[in-house]
Amino acid sequence: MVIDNGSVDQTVDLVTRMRSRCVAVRVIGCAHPGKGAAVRRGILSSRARFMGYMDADLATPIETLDLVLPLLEAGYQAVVGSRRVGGAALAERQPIQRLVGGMLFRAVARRVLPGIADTQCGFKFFCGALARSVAGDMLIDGFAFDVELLQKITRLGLPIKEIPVVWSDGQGSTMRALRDGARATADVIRLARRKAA
Amino acid sequence: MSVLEQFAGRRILFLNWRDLSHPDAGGAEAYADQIARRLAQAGARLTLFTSEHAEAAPHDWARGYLVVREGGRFGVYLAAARHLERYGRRYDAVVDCQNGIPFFAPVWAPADTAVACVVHHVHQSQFDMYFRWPVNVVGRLLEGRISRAVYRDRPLVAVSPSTRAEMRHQLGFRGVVHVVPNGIEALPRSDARRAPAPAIAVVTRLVPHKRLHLLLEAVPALLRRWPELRVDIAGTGPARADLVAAVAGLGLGQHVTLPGRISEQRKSDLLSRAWLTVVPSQAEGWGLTVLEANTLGTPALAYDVPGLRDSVRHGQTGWLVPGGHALAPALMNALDELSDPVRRRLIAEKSRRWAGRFSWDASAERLARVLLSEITRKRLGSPSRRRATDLATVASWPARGMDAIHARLRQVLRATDAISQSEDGLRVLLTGCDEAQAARALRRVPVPPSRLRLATTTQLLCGTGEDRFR
Repeated sequence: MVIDNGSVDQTVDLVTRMRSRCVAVRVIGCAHPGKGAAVRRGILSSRARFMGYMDADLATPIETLDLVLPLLEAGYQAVVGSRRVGGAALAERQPIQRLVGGMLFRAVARRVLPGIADTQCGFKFFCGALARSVAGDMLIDGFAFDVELLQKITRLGLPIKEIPVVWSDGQGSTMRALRDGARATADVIRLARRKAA
Repeated sequence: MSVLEQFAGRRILFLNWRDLSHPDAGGAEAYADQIARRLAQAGARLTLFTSEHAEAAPHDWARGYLVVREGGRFGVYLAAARHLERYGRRYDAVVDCQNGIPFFAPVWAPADTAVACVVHHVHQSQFDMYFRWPVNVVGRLLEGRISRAVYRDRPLVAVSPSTRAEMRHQLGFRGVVHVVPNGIEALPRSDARRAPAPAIAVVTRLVPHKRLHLLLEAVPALLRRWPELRVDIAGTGPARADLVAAVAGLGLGQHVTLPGRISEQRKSDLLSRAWLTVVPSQAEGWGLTVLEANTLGTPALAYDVPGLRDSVRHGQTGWLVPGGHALAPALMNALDELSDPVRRRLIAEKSRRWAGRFSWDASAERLARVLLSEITRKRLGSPSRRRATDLATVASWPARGMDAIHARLRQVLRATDAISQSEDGLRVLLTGCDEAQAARALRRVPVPPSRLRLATTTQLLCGTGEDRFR
């Protein structure tokens, strides 16, 4: 399933043209801007047994799925990619403002999710029923959506399995370090408050 | 009743830097003229405000509407501002045509006047080609940041989906952008038959960014395969001298001709005889030459760049070559495919049908819909309920019972949504919304649609939910 969230590269045409016999690919739209809104639309439109999301630019290599599926089959309810556990690699260096912003963000996120080293990797897979049940009442539309999702799963008392991934930053990222980063950090602070309450 | 007819008696002002009588008039002037003429024919009291030039009177009615000419190439912007300040109240709607720099009509016109801004092409990179510092920087600012602030909540109109993508990408527009494509005027009938040997014809203005030297450089390789190949590059312009020199330099005088400016009849004959037209431009707002060739059943080969990727349907009405790739191998493949008479007939038929989808009547109607919805919005003082998104959704119903649904739909939909009916059923193109929003908008229709799908670029461009390309 491909979610078109305000793309300007003719996503609908590409998916329509690449229709394959083996894999059913569907494209659906999400007019509401934000990664959180788009992922939520995807989760709630799917009826799959296992589901997850990843960046369409293959920032995490697709082969990583071969590690994820056996874990889900084995009974893990949530398997997430991580760039900060043993065995992970960042294929390219990030610019300084993203490094500093990332450090700040992680410091805040750690308060909400003490056990998770990397909450923001765009590669997360879940048991379908679980994802659908938590996605329905999620509120964050921006990049901090990942934290909210994991927080809800942790609260249900379910373990989250982190696996190392090799990550490469895409060229066409629309993430603006200052604006989106600040908003995401503010969202996480709200989540931390909600936790305390 | 068409929306155009609802403009009888309304007063409309078009702003364009040139008019059709200007010696350098081009595609943008044809667009303004064709649509203005149709509004005037529908009974609208239409004024076109434009710049003066030596060959024209300060005002005339030659085209069926009033043309007012004031100010020079830059002075026209000031003159238009003065005109709007003085007489802005008299107009129901203003169509502000941007040619790099818009007229900033929202600043000068009364706040409750409907203003729509038409963008043919994004000029950001061209300011450097034609102007030096600091004019280029000012130009970029006026087209980008300042336009963005001035037209923030006004409807914008792009002539193609790829122009719209550039407006989002390069100019950062966040508001509603409608698509109203160029129409096409029939070329004179031609009795010329398709040439027995491969022939390529290009009829266009010869300017550097059309990059026709790339075509010339590919010719030697093609001649090895087809020694009797003919190439005609008609038209005039600043790049012609260089092209003539390149033909001589490559020793192609036997095979390539540059006949210069030609008549419409000659153009028709040339394109009818050719197997193919080639457009190596680095970008276009829209590919008029592509569609002109298509009307005569001639396919086009072009680079996969903004504008042309909308007007050429790869594999059906021509071929798109990835940017940066060489032309010769692609041309070789295309001519190979066209050597098969059955394939050629099929491509010719598809090209004709594709061109048949565009008409100035349809374009005028679509611009009228944009204007009417903005006039209504201004009168009600309400913000649009749907967010600005380029997504559009096609809802379809089976043929059974569609008349009843059709009647109800007209009350539910907005002026800019399009209904089409065929033996397959009923389809509605809802612009500016995803499937979930479309479902919500259609709640008041007694029978829910049997299918909701995101619209493809072709559907957006043609302004219809029909997807089969007959």
